[in-house]
Amino acid sequence: MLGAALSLGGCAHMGAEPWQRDVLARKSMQLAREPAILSFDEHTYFSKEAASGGRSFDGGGCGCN
Amino acid sequence: MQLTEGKVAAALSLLAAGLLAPMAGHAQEASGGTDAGVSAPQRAPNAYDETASEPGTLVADSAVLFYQEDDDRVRAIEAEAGLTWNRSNGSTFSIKGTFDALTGATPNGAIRSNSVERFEPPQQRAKAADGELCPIDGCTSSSGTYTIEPGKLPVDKTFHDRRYAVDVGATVPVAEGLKLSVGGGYSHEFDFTSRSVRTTLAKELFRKNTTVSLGFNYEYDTIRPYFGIPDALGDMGSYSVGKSRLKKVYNVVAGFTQVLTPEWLVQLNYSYGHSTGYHTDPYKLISLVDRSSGDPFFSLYERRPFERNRHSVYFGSKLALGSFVTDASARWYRDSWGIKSVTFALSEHVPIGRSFYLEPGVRWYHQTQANFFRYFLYLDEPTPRMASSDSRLSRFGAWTLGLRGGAKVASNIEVYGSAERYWQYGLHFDRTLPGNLATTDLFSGSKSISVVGGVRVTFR
Repeated sequence: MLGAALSLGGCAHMGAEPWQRDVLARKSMQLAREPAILSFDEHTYFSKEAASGGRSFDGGGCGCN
Repeated sequence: MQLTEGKVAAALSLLAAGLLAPMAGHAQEASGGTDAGVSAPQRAPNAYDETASEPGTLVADSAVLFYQEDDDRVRAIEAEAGLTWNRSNGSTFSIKGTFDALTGATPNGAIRSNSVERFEPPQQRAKAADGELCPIDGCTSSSGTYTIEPGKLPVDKTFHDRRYAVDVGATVPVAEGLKLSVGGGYSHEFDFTSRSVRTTLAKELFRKNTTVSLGFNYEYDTIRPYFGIPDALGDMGSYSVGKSRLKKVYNVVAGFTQVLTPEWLVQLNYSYGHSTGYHTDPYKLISLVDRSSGDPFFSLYERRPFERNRHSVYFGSKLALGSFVTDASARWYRDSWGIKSVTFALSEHVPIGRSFYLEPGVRWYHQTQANFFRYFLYLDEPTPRMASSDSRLSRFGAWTLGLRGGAKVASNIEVYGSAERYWQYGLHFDRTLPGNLATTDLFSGSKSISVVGGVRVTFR
C-alpha cells in the first residue's frame, strides 16, 4: 500500500506548486480543525462503541470502555 | 462521592473566569488599534481562509463539554485547557489538562424483568476491628446495592466518576522535511489510572505534496474497581478475587497524506493495536434466564478475553470549493473479538460573513457483535468460557447529527462550539425466544446530546 501511495505521490501532475498552497494552508483546510471538539467526540465514541482510533492512536486513557 | 450541583457550578465559574480574563484584556486591544491585526485578514474573504500556520505564537485553548444521555442516564461535564507554543523554527510544544465529572446511571448488563430485580456488588474481605476477616458490607455500611422496577432497564444508579488528565507533546524538525513528535499522558480516575507515551516520525516528500508518518503509542492502565475485582462468571455478590488488574496497549499508526490538487487533500491511515491484560468490565453483569418461563433468575459477572488485536483503515478527504470545504471520512475496523465496523462522516464548512463559519455534519457507524456477546445465558446451559452482555459489544448502529461553528471575534481571539445529537439503534425484540423473553426489550443502547463551547487566544 505504501509503495503504491508513494508512486502516486511522485506523479508529476499531482499536487500543488509552492505558489499554489494558499488554499491548503487555510485554517478551514486543516485535518484536525478543532482539536478540542475532536477530542471530546473521540472520547464519547470510545466510551459508547467498540471500535476506536483510525484518525490517530486508539486507546482512550479512560476506564470508560 | 456524588458531585453536588454547587461543586459543579463552582468549577464552571472558575473555568469561565479563566476563559473570560484573557478576552477582557484583548477586547480593549482589539477595539483600540486593530489596524495592524487586521491588515492581512482583510485580504481574505473569511477569517477561516487565513493561514493556519502561526510560528512565533503562544496559543491558549479552552473548551467545555456538556453531555447528557436520555432517560437520566450518564451526565458528563468535561473541561480542557491547553497551551501550545509554536516556535519560529517550526517546533511546537504543548500541554493540556482535562477534567471530567460523570454522574447518572449506566446499564449493568442484565436484561429487563417482569419482577423487581435486586443487584449487589462483589463482597470484599476486609479486616474488622477485632482483626477478623469479614465481608465489607458486614463491617461497614457501604453498599452499592440497588433495585430495579419491573420492566425497567437495569441500570447502575451509583455510577459516578471524576477524571483528571494531563498530556504533554513536542514536535521538532530533525532534518529537512523530517519531524519528530514525542508525547505522554497521565489520566487518573477513582478506579482507573492510565499512563501513555508516544512518538511519531513524519517525512515530507515530493515538494511537500506527500507526507508519510509512522507512530507508536504505549499505554499502561491500572484498574481498581470500587468493590474489587469480581469473580469472572461467578455469582453476583460473591467475594472479589483481588483489588486491581493491569492492561497494556500497544498501538502503531502508519499514515500517508497526499495533496491531489491545490484544493484537495487526502489522508490514509492504517492502525494496529494490541492489548493484553484485564479487558473485563468489572461493573457488568449477565442475566441467567430460566428457559421455560423466559424470566431472569440470577446474574453472573461478565468475562472477556485477556487479549485483543485491532486493525483499522482510515480515509479522510478535504476538498475546497471557494471558501467552502467538504470534509469526508471513512473507517473500516475489525478486531480479534470478531467485531467489524464501518464509520462514515461528512461535513461542510460554510463561511458566513467575514468572521463566522458554520459546519453541519453527519456521521453513521455500524458494528457487528463480539463473538462472546450474549444478551443473557440460560440456566441450564454449560457456562461459556467468555461472556458479556455489554451493549457496546453488541450489533448496533449509530447516527450523529451535529452543527459546529466558530467566529473570530478579535484579531487574536476565536470562539467555537458544537451541538450534537447521537443515537444508537439495534435489536429490541427477538420473537423466537422462549416465554417472556419474546416480549422482553433487549436493547440498552444510548441516546445523547452534547454541547461544546470553547475559546482560543493567540499571543504573538
